[in-house]
Amino acid sequence: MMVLKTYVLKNNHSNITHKMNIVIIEDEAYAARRLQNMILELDPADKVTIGLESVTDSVKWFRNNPAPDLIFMDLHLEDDLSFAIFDHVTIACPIVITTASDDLSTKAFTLKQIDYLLKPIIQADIVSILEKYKKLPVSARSSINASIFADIINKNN
Amino acid sequence: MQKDEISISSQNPELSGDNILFQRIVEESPYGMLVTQNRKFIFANKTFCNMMMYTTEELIGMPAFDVVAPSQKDQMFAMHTLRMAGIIKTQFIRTTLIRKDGSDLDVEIRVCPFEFEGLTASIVFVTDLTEKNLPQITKSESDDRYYHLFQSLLDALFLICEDKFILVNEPMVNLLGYSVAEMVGKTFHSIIAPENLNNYSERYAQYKEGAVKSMSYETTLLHKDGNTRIPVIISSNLTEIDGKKALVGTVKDISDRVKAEKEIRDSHNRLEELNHHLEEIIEKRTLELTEANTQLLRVQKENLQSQFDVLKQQVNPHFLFNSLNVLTSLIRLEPELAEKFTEHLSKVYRYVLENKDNELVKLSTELDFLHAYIFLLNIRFMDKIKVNINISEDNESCLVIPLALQLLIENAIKHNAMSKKSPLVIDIFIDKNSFLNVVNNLQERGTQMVSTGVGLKNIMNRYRLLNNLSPEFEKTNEQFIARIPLICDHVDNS
Repeated sequence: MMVLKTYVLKNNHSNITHKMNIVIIEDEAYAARRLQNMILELDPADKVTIGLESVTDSVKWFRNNPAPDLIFMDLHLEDDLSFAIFDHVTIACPIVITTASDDLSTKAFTLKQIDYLLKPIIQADIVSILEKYKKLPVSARSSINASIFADIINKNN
Repeated sequence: MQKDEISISSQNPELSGDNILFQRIVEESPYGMLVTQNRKFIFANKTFCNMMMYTTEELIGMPAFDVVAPSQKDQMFAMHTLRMAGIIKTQFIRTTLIRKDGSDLDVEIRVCPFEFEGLTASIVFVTDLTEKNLPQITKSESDDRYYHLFQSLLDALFLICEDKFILVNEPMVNLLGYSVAEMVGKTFHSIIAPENLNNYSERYAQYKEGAVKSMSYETTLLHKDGNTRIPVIISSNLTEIDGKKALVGTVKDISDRVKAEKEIRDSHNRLEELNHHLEEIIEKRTLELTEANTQLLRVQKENLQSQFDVLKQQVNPHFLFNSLNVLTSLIRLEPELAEKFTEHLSKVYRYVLENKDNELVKLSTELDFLHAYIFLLNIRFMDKIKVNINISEDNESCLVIPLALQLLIENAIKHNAMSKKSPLVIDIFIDKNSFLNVVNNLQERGTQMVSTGVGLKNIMNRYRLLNNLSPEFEKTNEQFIARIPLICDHVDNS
């Protein structure tokens, strides 16, 4: 059994060979650094960008860089709610929301099938999220529509 | 008049001896004898002329009723009409005639209808009751009864021929205010209320066509005064008089019934109005009750919300998880800072737990807590936030409500953007009015949270419970200013 389990794990690992380009949008520097470290510990081959702390910075970055493979995004940024980024740029990339509050908005994310992680982020959650998105073919990615977030903001102010 | 006499003679061109004898008998008769046709004298013998003091020439062609005393005219006329209608045959009548000189003459007359030249005529025998003491002449009792019945009926009766009344009884004329003489000869449509004339014309046309033999209908008659309306039911039958179509009918006054009906209708309307009014009142009261109820529920909800908010503010789970998030990040990256952070976090939570039930705390205690809280904020937001506290030690024994300052700082963070380039700056000081000021530079966030005002309302409510002290909040173009009352009276006592 152990042998089999190891085999399965190895087999899974062999699937996660795809090197990912990941962006973390987070206004708390320590939190951003911690998440970056957690991802790199799992796969040092990934590229993880941090330092985007506001909507303004993020929009500028997305305009000057190709779309990443995955975005981790805090809700409350320096200047506005992170959803506002998609009022300005269109990105075809999956998103994972990070939030400290387990309130109504997380229920809304579940309803809209938006992935989210509760802070402080737990290692096991990162593992399953990365596994999910490393398997996801690029062709399956769709553009993020700002309107999907509009309801959530209205419901939870 | 001559003509008439000639015409009688001309019927029998060969006047035989018998005829001459007959003529002499008539002329010499002690009875007044006369013939009328179309209500005019066409023949009168000498005896009658003498009785009335007229000459034959004067009488011939004269309307027969002109010699009847006014008091007797209606009755005479009615009898005449009944006779002409064939309802009564012959009759004895005691009546009074008027002589040429205007004096009365009591007479008894006997009238026999007969046909002359194809038209109905009447031969009348007149006995002078004043001069002659004649044997009692028995009356035709059936005729009299007939007339009496006609006159004594309570229902109004009429007879119409060629569109005109030829016979009406007392109740009929009383109903409309006329005398019999006034009414006879009037057309039927002249007594119908103008507004009902159309219906009348239609009905009358049906009669004329012979489509209907009898009918009964409601209509409105016009009183002689030309104004009063009398609602009636008219029942009439088609009959014939002298080969002409005629109508005999009754008129029933239904004023009382119509009046009763109107009263019922009015009562009904009044009831409906009352009902409507009641419904309106009920609707209004229901609305008022609903409004009062809604208001009561709102007040209750506000009270509960306020209590809930107080609890929520005292133990803010959001703040705890944010702090834990910072802590997990620090443990590996900055272990020493993590240690310090944990110490301050403990201090903050101990303070919250110890003071959550207190109405007031010393300013110095609150400031101790606030320094620990600001330490946590500085680690979390680095140099994006700067809190300056400038309070002299003199005031530190004044009292404030616990966590008010923390709540105001949290509020500033929630509503304002902050970055290294333009940090959120919060100044805390005491103004000359002894109010604790919490002032921040205004740099509102892109998506403004619809402010529920819960935080500020919480502070207001808690202060209101204390001697009606009231905090003030002011928003200018550059700043948001909160002024919180300091309670310094207690200082000396404590």
